[in-house]
Amino acid sequence: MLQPEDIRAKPDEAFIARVRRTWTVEPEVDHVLTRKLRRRSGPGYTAIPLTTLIEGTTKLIARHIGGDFRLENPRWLQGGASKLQMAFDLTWSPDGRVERTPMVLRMEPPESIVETSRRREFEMIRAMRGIVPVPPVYWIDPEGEDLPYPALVYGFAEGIIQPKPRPGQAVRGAGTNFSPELRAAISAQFVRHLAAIHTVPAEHLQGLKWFSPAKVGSNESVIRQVNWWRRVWEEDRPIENPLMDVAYRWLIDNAPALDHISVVHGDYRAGNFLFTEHDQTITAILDWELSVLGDRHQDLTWCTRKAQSRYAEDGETLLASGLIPADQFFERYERASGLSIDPWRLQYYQLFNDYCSTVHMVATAWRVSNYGKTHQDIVVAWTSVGGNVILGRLREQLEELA
Amino acid sequence: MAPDIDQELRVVLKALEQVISPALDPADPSAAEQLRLCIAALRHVQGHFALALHCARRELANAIDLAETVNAAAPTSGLDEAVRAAGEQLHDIRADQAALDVARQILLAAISEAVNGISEPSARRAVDRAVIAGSRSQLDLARAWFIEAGREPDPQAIPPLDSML
Repeated sequence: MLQPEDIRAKPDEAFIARVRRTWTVEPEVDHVLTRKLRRRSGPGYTAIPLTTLIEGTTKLIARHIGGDFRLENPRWLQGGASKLQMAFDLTWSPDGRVERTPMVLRMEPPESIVETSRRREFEMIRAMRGIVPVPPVYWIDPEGEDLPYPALVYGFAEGIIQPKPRPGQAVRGAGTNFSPELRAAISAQFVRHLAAIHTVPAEHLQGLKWFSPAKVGSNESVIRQVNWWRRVWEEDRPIENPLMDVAYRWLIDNAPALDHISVVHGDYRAGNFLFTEHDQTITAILDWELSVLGDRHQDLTWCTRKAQSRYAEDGETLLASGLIPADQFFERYERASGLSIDPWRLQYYQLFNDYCSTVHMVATAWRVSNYGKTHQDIVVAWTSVGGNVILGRLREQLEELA
Repeated sequence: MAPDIDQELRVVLKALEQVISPALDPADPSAAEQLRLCIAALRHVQGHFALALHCARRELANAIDLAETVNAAAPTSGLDEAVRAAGEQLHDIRADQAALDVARQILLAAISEAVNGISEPSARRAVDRAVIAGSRSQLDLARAWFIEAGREPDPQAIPPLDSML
């Protein structure tokens, strides 16, 4: 329950100017966060019929390629916790020859548990073509001119997110339950792809328009990211929490300088890639919305965190992302990437990731479900419940480090 | 008053579980997931609504404890008046949940302002340590409140809710 004059419910221009001035973030991040605040007092999410998405997608495609296409077989696509997705087939002539291409529309609700830029997501997926398996990206509606909200269209990739259930093989933990055979094949690719993402040549990244550059020897990009989530905390939190103030100061005071510039996926874990069981192959790495140019240790701690881990059949071996013990993962990663892993940075980014997750869950998940801003408020509200568990871990880490 | 809140929740839950749930389209996993969470949320309300006022009072008491810990670490933090005002609400037996929550919100804002206003390194470190230690009881309470959600890696490590209210 909040005071009726909660400024975050209907932020005025003075509040918006203050958060923008106080916490410097990348320009495109600033753009989407500011847009979110200006729209906050607007309506919540109400069910959008499939016909509205078909009309909007048709407009978007027509604007790019004219009218010579047919959109067929439209259907809701399940999965994807924070965005609405519609699968469809497009009959068109991209190279002068008629073909039928399966595609996916990915559209934001009015507010999400993470407010991100479709421009950045589109650009990063495109940049990753040829580096790791990603779907082709086709068109973007960055401001929601054709569709009700910002959206992008990408190619439909074959594969599944979860393996088929294994009766009698229930194992403990939150991570994905892969069979031992599948683990062996998928974990090797999981490591190799992350190494490839983190070692994309610098010249490949120079064309990125929607990402601010990072610099070796400087911690500026790290601080920019800490400020990103500190700003979101200020925009979304239901109530002050002095522990978050202490965590923020610690992260700023101890921000390590980059020793190598990597593309950081930002949410690299089982559940964010598709794979095919028949040939045990990762077919697409998804959900690039949180990607940044930064420090590889951010992804390394994220995909090995306990909350995403699961015990193997022996009940003792903890598997990062349900795939591989963390020590083996690190060893293989170092070999595959040629980059070292620094235990201090792992510690720093563990705290950083927990800080960000606390912001997402305690602040944003509460705020957006409270205002009915998503297509699944109950899921988002229930997600926020886990925030105090993460904050508890953050407190324990600070007890050790601060 | 009949039907009372508990009865209302019981009949709603029965309808959701025994009538609505089996009638859902199996091809719509999103509907099934949202219904499962609706039932879990209602069960949580059923088990906790009678405790909500006690919890709000405990949360305010935790915030006062935190303010006093910070004040002890940095006597110049200027939290005395905020603590006194919060204490008045805490001891007002007529204060409802909304009033207790507002008092807590005001006090936490004052603590945050005090914490962020300290720049001298040794005082800052002392205050940081005070906040880290003083935040535990509130976190334990919040985690115990939602223990049934199944998010705790080691539920036994969290003190039982009734021991904190």
